Amino acid sequence: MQYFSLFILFSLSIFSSFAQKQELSGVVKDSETGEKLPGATVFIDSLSKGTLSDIKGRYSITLPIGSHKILFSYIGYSADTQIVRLKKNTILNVQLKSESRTLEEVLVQSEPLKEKLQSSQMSVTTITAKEAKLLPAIFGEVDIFKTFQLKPGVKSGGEGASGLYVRGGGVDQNLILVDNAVVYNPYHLFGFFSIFNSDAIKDAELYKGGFPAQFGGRLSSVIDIKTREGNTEQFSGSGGIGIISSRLTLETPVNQHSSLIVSARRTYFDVFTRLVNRQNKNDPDYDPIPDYYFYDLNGKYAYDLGDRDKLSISGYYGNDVFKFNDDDFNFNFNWGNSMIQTQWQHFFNTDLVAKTSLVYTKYDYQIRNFFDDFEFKIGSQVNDLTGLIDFNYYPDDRNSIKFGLSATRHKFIVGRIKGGDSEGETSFDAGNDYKGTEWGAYISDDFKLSKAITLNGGLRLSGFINQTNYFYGLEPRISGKFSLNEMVALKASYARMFQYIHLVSSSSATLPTDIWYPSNELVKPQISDQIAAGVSFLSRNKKILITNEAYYKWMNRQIDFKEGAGLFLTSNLDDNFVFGKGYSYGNEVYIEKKQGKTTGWIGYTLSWTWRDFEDINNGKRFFARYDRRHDVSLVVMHQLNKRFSLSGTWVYGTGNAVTLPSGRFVLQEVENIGPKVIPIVENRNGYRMKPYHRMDLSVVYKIYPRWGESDLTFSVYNVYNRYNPYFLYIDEEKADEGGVVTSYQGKQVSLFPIIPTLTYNFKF
Amino acid sequence: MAYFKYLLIAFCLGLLLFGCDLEKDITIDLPKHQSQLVVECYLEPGRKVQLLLTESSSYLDSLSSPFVNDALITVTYNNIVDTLFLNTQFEEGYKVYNYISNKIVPADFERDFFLYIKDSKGRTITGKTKLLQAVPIDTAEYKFNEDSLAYVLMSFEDDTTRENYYRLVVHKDSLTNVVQRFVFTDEFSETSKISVGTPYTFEKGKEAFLTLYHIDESYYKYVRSVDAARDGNSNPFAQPAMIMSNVGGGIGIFTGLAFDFRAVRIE
Repeated sequence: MQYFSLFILFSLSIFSSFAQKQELSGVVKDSETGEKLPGATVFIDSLSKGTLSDIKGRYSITLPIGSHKILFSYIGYSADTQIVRLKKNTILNVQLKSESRTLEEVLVQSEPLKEKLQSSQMSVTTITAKEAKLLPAIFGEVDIFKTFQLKPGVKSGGEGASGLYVRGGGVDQNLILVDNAVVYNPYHLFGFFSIFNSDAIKDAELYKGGFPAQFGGRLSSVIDIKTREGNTEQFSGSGGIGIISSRLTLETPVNQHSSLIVSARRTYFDVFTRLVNRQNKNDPDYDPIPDYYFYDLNGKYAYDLGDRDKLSISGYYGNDVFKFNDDDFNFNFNWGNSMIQTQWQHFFNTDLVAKTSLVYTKYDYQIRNFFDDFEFKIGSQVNDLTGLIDFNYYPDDRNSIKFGLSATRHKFIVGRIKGGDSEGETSFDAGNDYKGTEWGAYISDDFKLSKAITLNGGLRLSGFINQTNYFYGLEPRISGKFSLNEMVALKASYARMFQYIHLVSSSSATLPTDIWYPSNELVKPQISDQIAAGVSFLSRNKKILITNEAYYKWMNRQIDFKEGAGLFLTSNLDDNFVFGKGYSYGNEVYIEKKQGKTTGWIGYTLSWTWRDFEDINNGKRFFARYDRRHDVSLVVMHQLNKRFSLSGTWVYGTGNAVTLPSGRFVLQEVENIGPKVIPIVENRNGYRMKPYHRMDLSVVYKIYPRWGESDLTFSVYNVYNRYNPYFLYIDEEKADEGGVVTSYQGKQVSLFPIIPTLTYNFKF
Repeated sequence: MAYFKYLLIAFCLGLLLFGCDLEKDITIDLPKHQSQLVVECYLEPGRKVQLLLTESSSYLDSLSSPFVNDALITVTYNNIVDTLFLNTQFEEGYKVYNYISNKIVPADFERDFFLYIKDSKGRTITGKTKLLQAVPIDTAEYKFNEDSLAYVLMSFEDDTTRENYYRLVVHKDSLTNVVQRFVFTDEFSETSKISVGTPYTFEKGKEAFLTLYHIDESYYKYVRSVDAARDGNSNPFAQPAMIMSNVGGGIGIFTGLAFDFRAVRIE
C-alpha cells in the first residue's frame, strides 16, 4: 500500500510536470534590416535543451513553467540572453544585432565564447564581413581572406598575397564555397586581393580540421562563405570610395515575400594609367603602361514561397582584364569566375529541414595575342554543374543529424593553344578536354552523450569517374568534446579527406594561368588524414577564451611539376608530373576577447611543413615554401566613443623557405652572344628569408548624416615601414667602365613600403 | 569632382611611395658548392671536334678562370677513338673552345658517338649522342608594318612520322647580334608545314640571318632547363629548376649540330 501510494504520487508528479509545460514561441530577426533569421539557435543551458528557428525565423519550444535563461544566437550576430518567467504560452520576438554594426554591438551582453567552448566542432573560425571591415586593409580594400590570415594555422604566401595556406596545405587544397558554389580562382590581381566584395558577404567560416561530413573534395580547409540577403523592410544601400576601387550595394524588398540585393565593385587603375599614357603619347622613348582593372558583381534574390519553403537565387560574375594594344601588337589577358546557384529550403517541420541546390560555376582565362596577321590564343577553363541536397534532422534534444548527397559534372579544357596566320594556311592547335563526375554522400550525428560529453561522428563516401577510371573513398570524420567543468573543455578530432581534382602550377605563386586537372590513371586522388587535439579555457567573466590545439596532417599523392617542365607547349601533361608526400604538424594558441570596448585576439602557431618527392631535390625531403616555424598575430579593436574606433594588427612570421642557387657555371651556347652565367640549384627551398613582421593601424570616424550613416576610414599599412623580403636573387656587380662582371651580390626585393589610405564608406 | 581631385593626389602620393627603392644589398650565406666539371661539345659533320671544358664554382666566390686544362678527353665513334688535345681557340665572335681534335666528324647518322673526360682531380664525365640530319628552310619572306619595320616568316617541312625538336636563332646584320632564340617541338603542328615568324625588328636595308637547328630531345631539355634556371634567379614567380644535362658525372651537353641557314636582305 505504501508502495502503491508512492507510485500514485510519482505518477501524479510526472503528470503534473507534463501539465506544467507551456510553449514559448516567437520570431528571430535582424534588428536593423528586419531580415528573418532561419536556423537561429534558441538554447536553455540549464535544461540542455534547444531548438532552431524555421525558414521564417520562427521558433517554438515547450518548457516547464518557471524562470528560464534563454540564449538566442546566430552566426555573425551578437547573441542575446533573455530571462523569461513562463506561466502560460508566451510569444517572445527577438531582434539580434549584427556584430560590429555600431558602438553598442561590442557592448551587447552575449555569450558567444561559451557557445564556442561547448561545441564539439574544433578548428573552426568565423568572420563576419563587418568584423573584417574594422581591421586595417591595404589600399583600403577589405578582404575577408586577409582577415583569415590573421588567425592561427592560416598563413599567407607572401607580402600582400591573399592565398591561404592552412595547416601545411596548398592554396589549391582549400574548398572555397560561396552559397554552395565552388570557387576555383578566388583572386584578383595575381593573388593580391580576393574576389569577395565585403558588402555582399554576410559571414565566412573556415574549417582547418575536424571537417564536418557534408564537406569534401579538398584536403586542407573548407571556407564556407554566405552572401547577404536583401533588406526586407525598405530600400537601402551602401558603398565606398577608395584609392583603387569603388563599390556600391543596393537592396530592396521586391514585395512582401521577396527581396533583392545587388553589389558591384570596380578598380580604376586603368583610368589613371590611360591618362599617363595619353600625356606621353608623343614621347618616342615612352613605354605605355598596359590597362588593368578588375570588377565583380554579386546578386541575390530571396523569395518566401510560403510557411515552409524558401527559394533563393544568387550569382557572381567577376573578371580581371589586362590588355596592351598598339599598332602592331595586341595582347589581351582576361580571367574570371562566374557562378549561379539556386537553393530551395523546405521545412518539413521544426525537426526536419531540407536544402536542395543547383549550382553552375565556371572559371576561365584567355590570353589573346594579335601580331599583325597572326593570332595566338591560350586558354583554360573549368565548368561545373552541381546538384546537392542536404537534410538537417533534430529527432530530439540530444541528436542533430545531417545527411545528404551531391553530384558534380566537371568539364575541363586544359591548356588550349591555338595559333595561325590570317589565311589559315599554317596553324597549330593543342590542349585537351576532359570530363569527370564527382559525387558524395554523407551522414553525421552531433550527439550529446551527457552534459559534459558531445560526440560528432560522420562518414562520407565520395567518388570520381573520368572515362574508364573510377575512384572512390571512405572518409570518416570524428570529433568530440569533453567538458571538465563549465570553463574548461577538451576536444579532439580526426578527418580523412579526398581530393579528386588538382591545380597544376609551374610557378611558385598562384597565377590565373594555373590549370585544374582531373584524376586519371596516372594522377591518382590526393588523400589527407588529420588528427587534432586541444583544450579550451573560458575565463571566469566569460570574456576571454583561450584555446590550444595541436595537429598532425599526412598528405599522400601530392603533385608537383618535374623540374624544368612547362605548363604549356606540351600535349601530355601527365608526363610532366611527379608525385610525393607531404606532412605537417604544429601547435596553435589562440586567445580571443569578444566583449567590451576592447576586443581582439592573439594567435601563435609553431609548425613544420614538409614535402617528400623522389624526383625533386634528389629525393631528399624539403620544406614547403610557406613552411613557417613561428607565426604570431596580434589584433586589437577599440571603441573610443560613438564616433571613433581604432584598430591595429601586428604580425610576425619566420621567413619563407626559398630556393637560391649555390653554384654557377659558364655556358657559351651556339648562338654566339658570349658566355652566360647559369645558376646551379642543389637544395629546394634550402634558404630562409629574413623574418616578416608588420604593423597596420586604422582609425574609423563615424558620421551620422540625416540620410543614414557614413565613415571615413584612415588606414596605414606597414606603419614602421619595414622592407619585408618578397624575393631574393643574386645579381652581377659590374665595373663602371666596360661593364665587366667583377663579383656577385645578394639582393632583397620588397614590395610594399608604408601605405596610408583613406576610404569613405556610406550606408543609407 | 573635388573628391576625384583628392583621389588623384592620393594616387600620385601612392606612386611616389612606389618610387621608393625597395631593393637592397644583403648578405646571403649560401651552402658550399662542390665544384663540378662542365662540358660543351657540339659535333658538326665535316668539322673537327671542338670542346669547352670548364668547372663550376660557388655562386658568391670571387671570379677566377673556369677553364679546366688538364683533362684526358676522347670522342669514340665507329671504333675510332679520337683523343682531343689542349688548344684554346677563339672563333669569330665570342666562342672559345679549349680542346680540339685533328679528326673530322663523319656524317654518320646511324651510329652513336661517345664522350669520355677525366681530369687531374679524378673527376669524370661520360656522354653519348647521335647525329641528326638538318631540316631545310623552305621559304623565308618578310613583310613591313606601318612603321616600316619588317618581320620574317620562315617555313619548313616537318617529318610527321617522328617527334622532332627544333631551335631557331635569328641574328640581325651580324652573327653576333641575336634578336630571337627559342626551342620548340612539332607536337602541336597539325600539318607537315611549320611556319615561324620573327618580331618586327628589321629596318629596310638590314639583313636577317635565320638558323634552324634540328636538335635531339636531350638538347631541347638542356636548353629549357638552363633558361628556367636563369629565370628562377630573376623571376619571383618562377619555379626553381635544376640543370638537365645529357652527360653523366658533371654538367653539360654533348650533342650534334644539324642546321640550315638562310640570309634575307630586307629591301
